[in-house]
Amino acid sequence: MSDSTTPNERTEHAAATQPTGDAPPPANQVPPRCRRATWIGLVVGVVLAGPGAGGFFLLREYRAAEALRDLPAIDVTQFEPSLAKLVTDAGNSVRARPRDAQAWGLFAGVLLVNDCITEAAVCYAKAQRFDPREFRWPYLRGVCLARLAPSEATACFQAAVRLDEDVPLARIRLAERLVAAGQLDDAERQLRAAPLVKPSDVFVLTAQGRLAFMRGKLDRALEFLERARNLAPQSRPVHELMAQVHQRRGDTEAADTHLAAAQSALPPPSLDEIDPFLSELMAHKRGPKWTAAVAERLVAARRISDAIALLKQAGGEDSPHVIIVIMLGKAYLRDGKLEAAEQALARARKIDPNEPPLHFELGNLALHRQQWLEAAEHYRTAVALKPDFAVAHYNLGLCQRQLGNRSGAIESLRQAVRYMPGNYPAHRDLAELLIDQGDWESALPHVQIAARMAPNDPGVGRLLAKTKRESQDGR
Amino acid sequence: MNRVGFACLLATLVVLIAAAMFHRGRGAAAPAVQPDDSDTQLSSLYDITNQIGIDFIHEPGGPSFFLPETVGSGLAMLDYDGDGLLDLALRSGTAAAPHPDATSTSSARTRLFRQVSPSRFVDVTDLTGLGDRSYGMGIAVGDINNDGYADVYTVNFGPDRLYLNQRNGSFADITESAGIDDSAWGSSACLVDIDRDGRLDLFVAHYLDYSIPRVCTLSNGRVDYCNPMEYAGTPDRLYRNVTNSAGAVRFEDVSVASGIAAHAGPGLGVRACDANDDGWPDIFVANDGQASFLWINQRDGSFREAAVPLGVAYNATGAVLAGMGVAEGDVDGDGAFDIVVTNIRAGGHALYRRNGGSFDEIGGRTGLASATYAHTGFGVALADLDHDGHLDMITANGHVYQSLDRPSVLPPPAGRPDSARAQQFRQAYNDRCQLLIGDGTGRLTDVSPTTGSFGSQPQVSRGLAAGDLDGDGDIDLALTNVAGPARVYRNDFVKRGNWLVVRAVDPMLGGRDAYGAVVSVWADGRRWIRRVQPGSSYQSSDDPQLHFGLGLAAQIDHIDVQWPHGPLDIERFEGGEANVHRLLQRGQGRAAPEQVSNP
Repeated sequence: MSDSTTPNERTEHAAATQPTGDAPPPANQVPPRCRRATWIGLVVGVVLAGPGAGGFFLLREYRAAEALRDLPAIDVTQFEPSLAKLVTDAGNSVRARPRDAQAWGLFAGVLLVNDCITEAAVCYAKAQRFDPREFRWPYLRGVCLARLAPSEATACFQAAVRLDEDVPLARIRLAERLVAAGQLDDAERQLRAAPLVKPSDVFVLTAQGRLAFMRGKLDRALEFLERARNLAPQSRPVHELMAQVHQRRGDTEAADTHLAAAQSALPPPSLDEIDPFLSELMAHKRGPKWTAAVAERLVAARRISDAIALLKQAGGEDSPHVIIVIMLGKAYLRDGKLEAAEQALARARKIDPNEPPLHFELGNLALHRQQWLEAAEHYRTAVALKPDFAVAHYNLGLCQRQLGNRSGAIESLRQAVRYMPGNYPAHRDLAELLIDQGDWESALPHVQIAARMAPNDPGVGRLLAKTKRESQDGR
Repeated sequence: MNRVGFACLLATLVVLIAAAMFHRGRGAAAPAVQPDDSDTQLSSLYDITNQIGIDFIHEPGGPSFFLPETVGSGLAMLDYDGDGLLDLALRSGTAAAPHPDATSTSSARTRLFRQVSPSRFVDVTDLTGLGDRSYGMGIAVGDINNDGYADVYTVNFGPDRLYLNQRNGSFADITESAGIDDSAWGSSACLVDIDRDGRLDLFVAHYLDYSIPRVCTLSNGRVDYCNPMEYAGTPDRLYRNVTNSAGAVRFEDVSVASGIAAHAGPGLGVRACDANDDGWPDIFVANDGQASFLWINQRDGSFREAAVPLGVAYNATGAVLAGMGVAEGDVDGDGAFDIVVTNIRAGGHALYRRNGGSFDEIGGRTGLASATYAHTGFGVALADLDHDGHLDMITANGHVYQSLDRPSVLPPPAGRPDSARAQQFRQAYNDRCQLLIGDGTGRLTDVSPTTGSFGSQPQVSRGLAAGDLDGDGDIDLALTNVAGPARVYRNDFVKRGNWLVVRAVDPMLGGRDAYGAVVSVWADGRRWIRRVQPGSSYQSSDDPQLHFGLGLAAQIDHIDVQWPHGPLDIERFEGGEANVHRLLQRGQGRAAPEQVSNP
């Protein structure tokens, strides 16, 4: 078409070349060449997007696979069902979100408190990788490694301290590792920087006292330990260290005083027990044995309502584990709730009637009610099941004495003394019975032993006076 | 769809498939690398067990999780026939009662091997009557009736036995007639003259009240041997030797009267020492998972427990040890006895260095703790193996729990023997023994890989005894293994110095070894000290002779002996050349110029 055509001519020509019957395209529509290019572009785009998307998903898959590479394989077939479910669910959370530090951390926590410590350490390392700014991951990994490979725990605690300088426990644990490695200067630096906040302040001061003692700075050690003692007057470690310091100073009297205080002190909480990072993981702890042991400690520390709450949480009377139910009965008994104790112990008897502690507690229950005959029967059963059950022998002796069976009481107390020679009440009571019987010769060694163990006991004092009178009378 | 588009789609599919295959390959965990146990190095401790005729396999019964299986047993080096050659007594458990899976066919018993000629041993158990068939734990050796012949006390899971040497190559069981009545679970024992009356008394460390064996599981469901804290510890036992001049051997249980019984603990190792240098023996007890005991002799028949104030109850961080074995020696060359205690894996062994009247725990500062974290130590000895003048430390190691980073291995069910599975179970507790060379300052360096099979052989070791077995002037070693062969290692170290072996005896006491005597050897301005006390290590008894590595000192100036009973005078013996065996008889020296003042 020549350029010389007029627009009208061009239009006419365009119209003449259109297929017959079609209307000519409007001036604003995309011409065919452009449409083709568009289609090609779209196809190319889709084609490129395919691998791109594929690549994206591939990369995501790869990263997920890589993140899961060290996921510990836990054999849950031997686990208690509730624990097996807990571990499986936590593991699945990690599989669902393999690059989520919280998921790894939760899984690690479940494993840590349920004694899968090696696996827990691996999981904490992963959590740390995906969230390097979270204090808990290196800290708890250090707690794991301190039980497996103590020399590797140091680096973990150092990392934790760098992340958060104000967590005293991290500094305390780090200081412990440094002391164990002989790095006393570094340990001291950590303790100096540790904030003194409850309840870890006692640990900081005690550790500082210990360090000062190790360096031979005895006065300085005592300063720290006195401060610790003011915060925790009944702390056994503090008294024990003070005994050591005084002994080194040559003050054996003060050493003995602190030693006696230590021996009469209640067991203090451990670092693990006051550790809030571990405490929050305890919700994941499973197992009847652990529960019963903790309850026992709580009862010993006279925290009976806490013990009962814990045991109820573990199933209480409905627990299939006899140790839980016996422990519940014991706790009720110590709390003066005799009927509740009776109910629990009856339930325990149905689960396993051959547990010596069960019969011992049944005997104690009867003793509370002054049902001497019944109590004696239960104690007899306990010692029949466990012949060296010294405390059961002792209680049986008490019952027999109440029942007027002196010879039986003497025999039982002899057994109590035989199996637990350090039990001064048994010596005292045995001596009394022997004296009543006129057997001074047999009684005397027991009087002497009781006097040596418990010179301030009123009963022992009476015995000593009696013995002295008799010897003055020339018998 | 045009060809271009189809080709791109196909390419995408290919890429996806390839990626999936790649992912599956990468997802699999890499197989664990197995350690290479091949030993191609020269042995400084050469295993001569088969060569010398020691054919003994420890029999613990089971296998099962019956706790005594993993606790015993020990051994003793003794010269029972007085021929000048050390013999070996080896304890075993048993598959018979009291093992809960008892079979009636077990032939396990204590066995005595007599050294009939240098480095040749013959089993004389039947001839001697020492074949105790109890479930064996420890053994203590000493002359209880001062007739010059070594007697034997066997500690058992069950009733202990006391054997009196008949001086004709045999022993008589005099347990009942001697007044010994001890059925508690005992571990180690030692004979020690607690009242300095010339008669050896007996201390027995008791372990646990294991009257109700149970299966223990961790929270994760893994079954393993019970933690000892599942059971109560039991009081130790002290018997005073009241044998009269007529010779009828008799012991009196003074556990209660002495105060020993006032404290119960899971005692495993015991060592008689003198923590306050007053010449009266004190007793250290290594407790398993509880503070150690240090019983200080009050010199009136009673003892006072003072481990805490004297600094030996815990380690430097205040942590309790799972204490097993214990040994005593002057590790830092300052003329005072230090104490080492072995510990469980991840605990690190403890070194209590004497500091005036008490001790400092310096295991961390000396490298001992870090060198031993990976191991569970039982038997232990302090001896100068290379004669450089510094004490070295040897430990017999074997785990008590399976490693948590491997699948749990269960024993075959009772009554269904499966030897392969049984072996696999036992091997799950394998560890390697260690030798740590001392430099005389208290630092101990692990050189186990250079010792040959001693430091490389995986085994579950327990008892360890040290002594000059072949009479060549250096210290050889013997150890026991759970369900495995006892092994004897000859000392083939390249020596760096001279030596001296001393036997200190008291003619007034039948010529017996003077247990409790402290011998000081002076040479080249240096002083080496040793105490005559074979009861040491873990459930074991060493050669009663004292070995000294003297370094380059070739000439001894003099030897001082502080005798364990009678006046607290030091007797001085003339010096002489090194590299000899010396017999020091009380009364044949002269009073040393420096005397200990009577307390």
